[in-house]
Amino acid sequence: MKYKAEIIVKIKDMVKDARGEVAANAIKNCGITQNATIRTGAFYEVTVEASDIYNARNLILEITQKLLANPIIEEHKILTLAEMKNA
Amino acid sequence: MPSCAIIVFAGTNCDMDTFRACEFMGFKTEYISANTTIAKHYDIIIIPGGFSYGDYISSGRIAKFTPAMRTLPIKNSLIVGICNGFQILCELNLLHGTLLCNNSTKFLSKFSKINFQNKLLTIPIAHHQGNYFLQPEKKNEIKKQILMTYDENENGSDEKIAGLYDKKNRIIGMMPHPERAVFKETGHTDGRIIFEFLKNEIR
Repeated sequence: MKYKAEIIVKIKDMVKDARGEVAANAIKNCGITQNATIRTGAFYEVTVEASDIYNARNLILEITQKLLANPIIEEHKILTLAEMKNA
Repeated sequence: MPSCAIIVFAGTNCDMDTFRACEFMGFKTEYISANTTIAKHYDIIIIPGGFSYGDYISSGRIAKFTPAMRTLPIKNSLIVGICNGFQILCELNLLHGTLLCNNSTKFLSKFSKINFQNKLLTIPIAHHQGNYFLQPEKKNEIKKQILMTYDENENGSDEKIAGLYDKKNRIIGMMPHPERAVFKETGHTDGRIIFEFLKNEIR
């Protein structure tokens, strides 16, 4: 069966996020608000084939931990995981 | 004559510079594809700079899965990662820490002053993701492994680290490009000092 997951990866709070700081500064400069902070990250949609949802989740976790995120500086979260009915 | 291999990935762009610098410095040099396992012994294996696999996802993230990289480390070969090579070695956890986007968020391309063995060298840097980050708990452990530091810390690296060793002193990563400072036509020749040092590190 085919499963689809939505995953976010973001820089840990303890790690400096230079891109986020530049973006937050731009918000200040254009006068929207003075005290916004921005942390950047990435969004991924991954599909896998697996016998059941538990195996699918393990596969997704392995892909995320080995390829999509660097555990030293990034944290990750699987937002959704569901069987693709029409696949 | 020491033997040297240069690993070439899709997107590597410093392979020829490194090859010429190595030949000039007296290494018997050959290219090897990242898509093959390394079966032969080389005194030194260099992972050159560039944009392996387009820096997709993050610098060095995809290159670490190639057959050549998965054969590392090999026996007593000295492994040297330059720029993107350093990023790949960090991604593989062969070196401590990792490299973040530069503090300025700009791509830095300039001659940089590098502290190396009590000398101040002028070596080019060219990177966007060269801001060395080290987990705070590893700071004491790494002190003896620091190989070179930035004099002005242009990118904001922890401990001003520009290059470092692994625990066994068999793996080296550095952000500066010594291969771009070997021939006098490129303006500086301090890179020769680093290649001489690498030659002396061969066992």
